Amino acid sequence: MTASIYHESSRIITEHVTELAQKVFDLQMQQNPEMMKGYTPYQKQKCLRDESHNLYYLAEALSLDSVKLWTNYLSWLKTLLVSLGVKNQQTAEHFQIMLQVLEANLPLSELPKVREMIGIAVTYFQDEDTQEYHGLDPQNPRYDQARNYQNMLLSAQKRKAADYILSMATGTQEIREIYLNILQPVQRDIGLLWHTNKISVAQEHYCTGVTQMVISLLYPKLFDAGPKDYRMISACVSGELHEIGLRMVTDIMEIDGWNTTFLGANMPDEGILETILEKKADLLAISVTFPLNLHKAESLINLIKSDALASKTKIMVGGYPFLADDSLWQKIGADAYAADASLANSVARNLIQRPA
Amino acid sequence: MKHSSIVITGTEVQKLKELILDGLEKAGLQIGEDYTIHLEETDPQEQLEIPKEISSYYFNEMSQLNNDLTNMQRELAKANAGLNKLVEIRNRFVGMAAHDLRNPIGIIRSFSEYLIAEFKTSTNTDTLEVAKIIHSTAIFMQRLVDGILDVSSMQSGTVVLNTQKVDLNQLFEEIVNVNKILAKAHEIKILYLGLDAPVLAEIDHVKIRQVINNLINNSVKYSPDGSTITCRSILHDACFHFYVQDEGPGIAKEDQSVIFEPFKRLSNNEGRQKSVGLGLSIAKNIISAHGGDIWVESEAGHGAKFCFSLPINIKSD
Repeated sequence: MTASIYHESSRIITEHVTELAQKVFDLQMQQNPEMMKGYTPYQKQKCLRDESHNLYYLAEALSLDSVKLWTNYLSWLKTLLVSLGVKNQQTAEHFQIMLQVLEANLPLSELPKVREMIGIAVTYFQDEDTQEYHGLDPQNPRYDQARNYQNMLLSAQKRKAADYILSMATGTQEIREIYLNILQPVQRDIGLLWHTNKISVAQEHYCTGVTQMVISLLYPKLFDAGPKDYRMISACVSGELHEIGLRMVTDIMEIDGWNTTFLGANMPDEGILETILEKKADLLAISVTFPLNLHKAESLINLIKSDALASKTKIMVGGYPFLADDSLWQKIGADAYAADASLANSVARNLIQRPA
Repeated sequence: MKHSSIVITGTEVQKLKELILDGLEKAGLQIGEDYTIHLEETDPQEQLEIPKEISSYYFNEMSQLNNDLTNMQRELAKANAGLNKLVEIRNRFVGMAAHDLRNPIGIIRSFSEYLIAEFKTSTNTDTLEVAKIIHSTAIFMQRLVDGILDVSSMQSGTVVLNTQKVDLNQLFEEIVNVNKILAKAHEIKILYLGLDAPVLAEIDHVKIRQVINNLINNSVKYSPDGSTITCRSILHDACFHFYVQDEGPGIAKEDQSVIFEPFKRLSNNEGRQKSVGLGLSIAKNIISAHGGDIWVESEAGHGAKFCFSLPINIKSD
């Protein structure tokens, strides 16, 4: 593990998260009994779960010494809570209570950093400004087509949406364009629509399911059996379910001349290691969307680097947290990081062709 | 008397309690004396809660299954692309090899014709016989090579149709009439039952002629001397249907599904001519390129009926 100077606080929070969440909850009840009065047992349970979530994020940010990761989470949380009607002041007070609990449970030497992090949260939630949903980027060269496709998804016209994309897929370069300028931005926007409470989680899953189906229908046109110079394996770490972004990156790498194997979501470390050795992979691409999975990516990287044979395989990472903090890939021990699917090929080739 | 209690848990406990009380009252039992009732309301979400270790097991299993499915789908598409590439290379190779063989075979055939003419007046009948064998073998090889060229070009997806508007009824009658003359040598009678009116359609008449010639040739090849072959055109569901029915040995059920594949040898191959085994495969490709269908109906020992359909915009005059 890449030890940060705040590793001890991170460890204590992670190991005692249930107990700490309960303390925050109890203190909140004590200070604001009116607020919690009408809560059902289920709502209380949900409240404790959200509490644990906040603590886990704080622990991850402390572990990686990343203020950027923390502020990125706060921004995400604020958008979500505002869309659900939770007052910012209420959340700010909640973080103050969290600090009181942590001050009583963490080592004194690490408290200044914890105070700094929670101070950022309090200030952030005292400010009433919120991120607004702006929709798809009009600068996108395929803006109209992306908007049409998204409208079809949101109006549950899966067959029409699939036919629409397939009618454009005349060759591999065209498919590359479809991935980069239609499917990728639409999926990101669908995520934002859910995040800002404009669509339900069921709609979000439906849209993702249709895009996955569309990708499968593109396969007969995507694979060309042309010569491939390098072998790549791609996987999401154990617990990571967001695989569609990585699937698109992997397919684009295939178009760009890589012989790819897509292992998918929630892969156990042993399975990934086994496949690296079996396929003699030149590159492993790891995707992390959920920041709490960063430490799992780190332990996977450590496992691969400690294996005599697998350690020759280069490791490239990508995904949401690396966009929030572009120093994270080095902190978890990866060899490179690609900001998006269009850059993955050049980043990976530079990495492999670089003299050892 | 033994005192009993009822515990009701769930989300609709009041409703359940009322129903139970009704029942108890009807049975003459008094609450508090014979029974006590305890109500325990639970949250619907809690009721659905599955122990963490079990849900985690299913979660991991499901995501692994999903991964395997996606992975297999990708690998299948990749393998398919690889196979398509191999087929393309094979067709190109076969096409090139057949094309290169065509010229020397043509030369052998021409020279054998020259030799036959030379030896016709000669007293050396053995030499004439040898020249005739060379000639017939060259013709066979030429047919074989032409067939291979047709099949490989069709399998490469390069069936180019030069369509024009023709009267199918007239065209088919004309083709059948030409074949009548050829069949006469074996005293085989060919009947044509055409349509009353002309039927105009856009087809590649050269290729369709090749199909009909092939079907009739096949029937002649397998028909006993003195038998009858019936050809018929029918209009059915906006499709033009044509069939050729013979009185030959028929085709065994197990052969009917493979008969349109190239180089398939049938279990009952007793034709009067040596077959290269490509004609029906070529016919299938031509009919498919027109968007039609071709099939056989037969029972061993009771003749065979080869049929094809052409889904066309028919205009009757």
